[in-house]
Amino acid sequence: MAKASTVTGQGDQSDKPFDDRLRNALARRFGEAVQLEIVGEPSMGGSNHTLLFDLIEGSARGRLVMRRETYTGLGNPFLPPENQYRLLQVARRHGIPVPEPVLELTPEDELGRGFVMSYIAGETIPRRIIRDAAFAEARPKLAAQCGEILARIHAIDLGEVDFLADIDDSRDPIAAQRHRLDLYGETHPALEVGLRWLERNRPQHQTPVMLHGDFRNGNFIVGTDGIRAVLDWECSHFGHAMEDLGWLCLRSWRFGHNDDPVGGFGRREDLYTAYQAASPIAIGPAEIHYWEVFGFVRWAVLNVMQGYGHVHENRRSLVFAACGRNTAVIEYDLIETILGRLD
Amino acid sequence: MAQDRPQADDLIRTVRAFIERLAPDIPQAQQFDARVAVHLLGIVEREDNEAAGYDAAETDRLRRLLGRDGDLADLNTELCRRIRAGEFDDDWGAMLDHVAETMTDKVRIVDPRRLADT
Repeated sequence: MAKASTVTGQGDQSDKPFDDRLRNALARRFGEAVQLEIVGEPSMGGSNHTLLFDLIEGSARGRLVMRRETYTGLGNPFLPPENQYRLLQVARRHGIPVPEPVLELTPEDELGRGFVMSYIAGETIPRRIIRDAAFAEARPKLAAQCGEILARIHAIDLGEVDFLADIDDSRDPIAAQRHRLDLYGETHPALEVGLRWLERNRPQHQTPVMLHGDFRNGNFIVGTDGIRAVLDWECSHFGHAMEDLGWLCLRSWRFGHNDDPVGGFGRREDLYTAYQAASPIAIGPAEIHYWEVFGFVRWAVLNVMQGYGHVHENRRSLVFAACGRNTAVIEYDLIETILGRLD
Repeated sequence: MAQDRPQADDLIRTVRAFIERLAPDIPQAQQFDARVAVHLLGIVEREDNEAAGYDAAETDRLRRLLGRDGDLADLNTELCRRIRAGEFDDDWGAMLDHVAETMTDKVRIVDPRRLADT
């Protein structure tokens, strides 16, 4: 558990104590009498700083989460927090399970860029979701729930999220990955193979939909009843609907449970059937395969990026160092998938 | 100048064993980082033992595939350029076999258990 004085992140050049700044920001929404108690900083994600705290109003106590932007490095692929906040509002309006957006930080808060959302209890760690007995009943339902949720995301009118149109990945996802890889100046023959394959096997054009962009085991809050919330909307963009389904099925989130290709917890049939029942967009297994190849390339480039941050941008950590080396494992999966030796 | 005993690989093994022994007492919040630390030291150990052989084999394969001489870094830069320019588009076979073999060797160093679950 972190003490308030050790909380780090942007905006901390301020002279005011961190707790006072956070309390002042919350007072805008909850009134001057509000009190808070820092709960902790779970370490997760490479793009955001997360802080849990309890809000105390008289005898009532409610847990909230603050997410602040931390990644500002070369080739930053992540949406700014204000757009993540808008996506939470839109998703909620469409009945997609997400934390309730509670408050946006402003420059006067001196807390950096970010927002506050409701806390939803449950498990996010993939290995536990895949293995723990507590989720034995939930596990067989998860793949179908993923299909239903994705169908709802893909049905959102693009006019409601028009700020996503300008993103590189919305214009040409293949070119976006190639451009990003080139920024880091590393030699990766396997990624060149992947990018060339993707350029030569492009699927037929399909009306673009809104994609979550990082819809996978690890970004779900799972309870004994199934998926309670979908997190981490910072990679959302427009694109081919099957991109989200391919990403969800990557070997990278199965943790050895390859009999359950969907996130290590479910079967493809359950995902596809549920999606098809809820969406007018046709499931295309060949297209999903294409977007799995794409997913390995994209995931590898993101790992190159984290390794680059460790070496060149002073974002040094054991995890980012490991990401740089993990690139080889993803490239292995990529090449074996192109060769048809993995599914 | 030769260094005294123990050698570098022994030092790494010793530090790794220390962190592994410590693991149960490391606070929950740092347990994941501790596992990553052990993983990284494992990479260093395997790289020390195996990388020279893999690099030599990769260099040989690249010289044959590209039909020219050069060191490993030059040859890989040239391979990337040719893939991107579409020079293998008519026949990916030998090139793809080479890249697959290279990636397998890299995974032998980074995370050899991954090769077992395919």
